[in-house]
Amino acid sequence: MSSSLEKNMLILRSSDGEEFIVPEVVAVMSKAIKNMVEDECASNTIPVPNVDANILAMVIEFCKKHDESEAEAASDLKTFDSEFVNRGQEALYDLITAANFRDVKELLDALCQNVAEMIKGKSVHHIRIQFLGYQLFEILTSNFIWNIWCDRDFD
Amino acid sequence: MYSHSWKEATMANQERNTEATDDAMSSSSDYNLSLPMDIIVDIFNRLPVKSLVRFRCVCKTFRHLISNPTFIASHLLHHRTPTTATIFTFKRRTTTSLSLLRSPSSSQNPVNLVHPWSNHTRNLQLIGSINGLLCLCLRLSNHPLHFHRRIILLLWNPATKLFKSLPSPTFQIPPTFFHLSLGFGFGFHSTTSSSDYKVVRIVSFNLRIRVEVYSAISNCWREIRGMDLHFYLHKLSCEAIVNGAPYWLLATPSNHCFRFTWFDVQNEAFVMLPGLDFSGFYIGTLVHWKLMDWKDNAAVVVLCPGNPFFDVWMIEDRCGGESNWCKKFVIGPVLGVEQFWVLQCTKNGEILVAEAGGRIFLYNPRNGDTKDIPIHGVPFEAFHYVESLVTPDVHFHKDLELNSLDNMQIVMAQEEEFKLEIPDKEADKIDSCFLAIE
Repeated sequence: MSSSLEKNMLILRSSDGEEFIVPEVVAVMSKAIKNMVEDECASNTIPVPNVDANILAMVIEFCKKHDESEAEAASDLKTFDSEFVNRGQEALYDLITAANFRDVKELLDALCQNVAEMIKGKSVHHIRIQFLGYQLFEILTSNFIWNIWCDRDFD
Repeated sequence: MYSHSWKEATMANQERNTEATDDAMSSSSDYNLSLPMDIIVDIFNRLPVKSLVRFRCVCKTFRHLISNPTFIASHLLHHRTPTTATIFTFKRRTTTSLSLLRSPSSSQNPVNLVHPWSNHTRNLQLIGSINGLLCLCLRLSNHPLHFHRRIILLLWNPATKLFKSLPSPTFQIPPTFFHLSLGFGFGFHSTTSSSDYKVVRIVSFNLRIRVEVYSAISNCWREIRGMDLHFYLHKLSCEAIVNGAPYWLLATPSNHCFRFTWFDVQNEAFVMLPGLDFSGFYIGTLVHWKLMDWKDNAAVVVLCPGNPFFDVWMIEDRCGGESNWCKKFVIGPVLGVEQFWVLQCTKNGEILVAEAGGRIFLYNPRNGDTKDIPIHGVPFEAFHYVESLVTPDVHFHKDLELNSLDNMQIVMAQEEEFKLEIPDKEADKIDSCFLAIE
């Protein structure tokens, strides 16, 4: 089963039309794609809507590494993961959306862990700006009492 | 005047916003990072309690999420194995202090926990620690004859700093009893349908035993009857807590034979363990022993004075349904120490050892290393501890899984039952038995 799978190649098409040729073992690390393949509703080309080429390339890179290094030491993989997810916030956000939408569990795990590390020591102000975005932050801070409350140090 | 100050404050805030945005962020000032809820839950599950307590103030959604019982349970599950610590109490001449030793402990020194009753430090005793909730016993009276009176029991979560004092037990001890001993135990059970924290109170007087159980859900004490056990209560807390069940020693005539019993928290009954008889193994009468939680198993650690090794006895199931104690490991030698006793085995396999001279150290049985813990005093109790968001107040909806409609129906039922009217505003707040009774 697995040997026949390895020869199979799948084409993933990103939202902006770029196509990636990926071995099926790598592609099925995404549960969503795996389901499509198993139900045989996938032709050779699988469209991956709302994930652009840039992000899709990253996701494929991650899956490839994980597929290759199954036998490798877990610590190596860990360092790769932590380096891989160490990106700017926008890329991180896009990656999370992609991983969540495509259901790539390992990637989602690594990403969530990274975000957790990022925000662990941050103050309430930081979280409002970074995590919730500026607009919501403005709405919240227009509330005077809320602000006084939040300016207190809760540690 | 009011509007003026409002405006001023808003403007000041906006200034601060831009400042904060500038130094915190590079590009994404208008970038709205709205993640799906399940991702936020996933991220929050990985955060330490300290951060979550702070993030409750970020917005209403976060606050709601972080105080949600389902989230609290999943957060606890996520943190139970990797980050456990040991909590232990120290008696000095005038004070009792609670110390927290985080594991992996090789890098960190123990932290002193600051509790809200610092003026009663002398008479504070730790009864147990389960899922981040500590059960403490506070004695307000120092008189040796009245030691059992004016005892306050508290449930306290040091991570969220929430605490709750338990109601007074139903069975009060008359002031003239002698030959009296008192023991407490802290237990927890969890099934798919319900979970509850319980405190067991054992009063032994004139060779009679009375046992009461406090349940956090019903917030009251209830006596359980039909018991004929002779507890050997030499301290207020139980011997050990293993998998949420408190263990006690029973009185036996022999010095080398022990019988233990544990409290089945769900069914509220005592279960006997087979007798542990090691009279053939050790020569001499002076043997130190301690019952402890050895990686989620009940184990008795036995030490002979002068011997650098110690034995770990555990219960082994034999075929035919019988189980018996047997000597599982010999650990040691603990070098460079004359006389020592074992306090606790941490979850990562290190052993907390106290030397007769007052030195406390961690012993690693794998390579024989010892590491001093810079604390002085006589160590007393040691329990496993895990930081959690568990609240000492258990609410209706946690266990009955009620929504607001059900809550409303309960309020209406109460109104009918007691022939009184409850205003809507108050009704919303009624979410625990305690409030409902009021």
